[in-house]
Amino acid sequence: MTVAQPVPEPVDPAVPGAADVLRRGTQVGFGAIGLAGRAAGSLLARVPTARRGSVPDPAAPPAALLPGAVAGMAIAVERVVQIVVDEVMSRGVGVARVVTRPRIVRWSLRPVEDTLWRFNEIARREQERNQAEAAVFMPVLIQRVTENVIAQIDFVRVVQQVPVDDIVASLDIEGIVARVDLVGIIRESTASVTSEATDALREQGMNLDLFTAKIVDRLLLRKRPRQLDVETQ
Amino acid sequence: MTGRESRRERARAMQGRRAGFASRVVAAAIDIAIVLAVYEISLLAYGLVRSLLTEKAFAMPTPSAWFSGTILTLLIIVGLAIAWSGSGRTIGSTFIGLRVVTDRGEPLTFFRAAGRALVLVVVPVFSMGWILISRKNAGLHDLAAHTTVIYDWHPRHEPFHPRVPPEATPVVPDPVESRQN
Repeated sequence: MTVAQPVPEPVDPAVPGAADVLRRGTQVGFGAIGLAGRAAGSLLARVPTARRGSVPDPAAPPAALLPGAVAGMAIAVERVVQIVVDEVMSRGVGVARVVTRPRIVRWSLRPVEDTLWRFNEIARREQERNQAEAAVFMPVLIQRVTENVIAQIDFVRVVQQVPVDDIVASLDIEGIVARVDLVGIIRESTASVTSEATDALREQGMNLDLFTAKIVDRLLLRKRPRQLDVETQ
Repeated sequence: MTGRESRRERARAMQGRRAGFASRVVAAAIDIAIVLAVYEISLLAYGLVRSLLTEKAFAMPTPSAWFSGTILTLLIIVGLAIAWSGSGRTIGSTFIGLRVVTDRGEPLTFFRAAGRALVLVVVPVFSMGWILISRKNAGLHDLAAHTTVIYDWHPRHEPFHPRVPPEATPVVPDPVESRQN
């Protein structure tokens, strides 16, 4: 049996023609649909199940009940169709199993089965490549679209339309300022920095004092240390 | 123990001990700079007032050398006497963390502070230079007035507590800790 192998085509560096654009666009489109489907499936899997038991308002007019009624009817139809399809499929499988049991039937169906497998393999491989291309293309597309959208927006006009005065008027700025001890914060931070710098300078002075005293004492050939303690009474 | 903690520990151990030459010279230099700045600002203010009240254009006053010397000497003596007899520290001493006390650790009276300032102003270089030689880090003005200069980083004006043995240490706020925290 021959298995279809998609052959990678060399990329033409020249300007793409209309056929190339159509082919590439189709591939990216299929890939995007595949990614979107996967993302939707992942998103739906995370959505929690809604709680049952929400009762409609009895005072609502009949017209307001129409959308809910249509949705309910569609759900009921879908369930009936699903039951019918399941029943047909279960019975059909049994029938197919009986029908395809003879060797001659299976032999005659072999080309059809091979064809189905071949197309399925083509679809699987192509879809993988399409999704890969879409994954590369979509961020670029989103970036370009976002940049173009931002370039089109007149931010100055947008900002001018923001009712800053109304927002400010609605804020109790004096109350906020009264609750924040800005003066205390500034005083404490400034005092801390000043204190650190001052203490560093004082330590340097102490070190220099000891150093000069040591030098002079050595020059004077003193052996006893200086008497730096103040005598108590 | 980190380097910063060891430095703080050493600074804490030096509180209340006699200060050396370098710290005292830096404090004196700050005080002299302040006095000179006050004198120059006073001259500037005098020139401004004179130009406003008279027809003369503004000009910086140029007093004679003896006038400037006398005024500066008086400013220094009076300023030092007031500062030493009050909190025991001038602006420069406050910045460097020094305090002037008597040999027994008591605050100075005004006259003792004035005598100390007079000796310092009359023989400044020799008096300050004696700190290098003295075993007690005393200048000539300290010997004349029986005073000494100690390290005291405490920010507030509180009575001086002389150094006593550790087992009898009085309960006073630690100046280094109180400044760091």
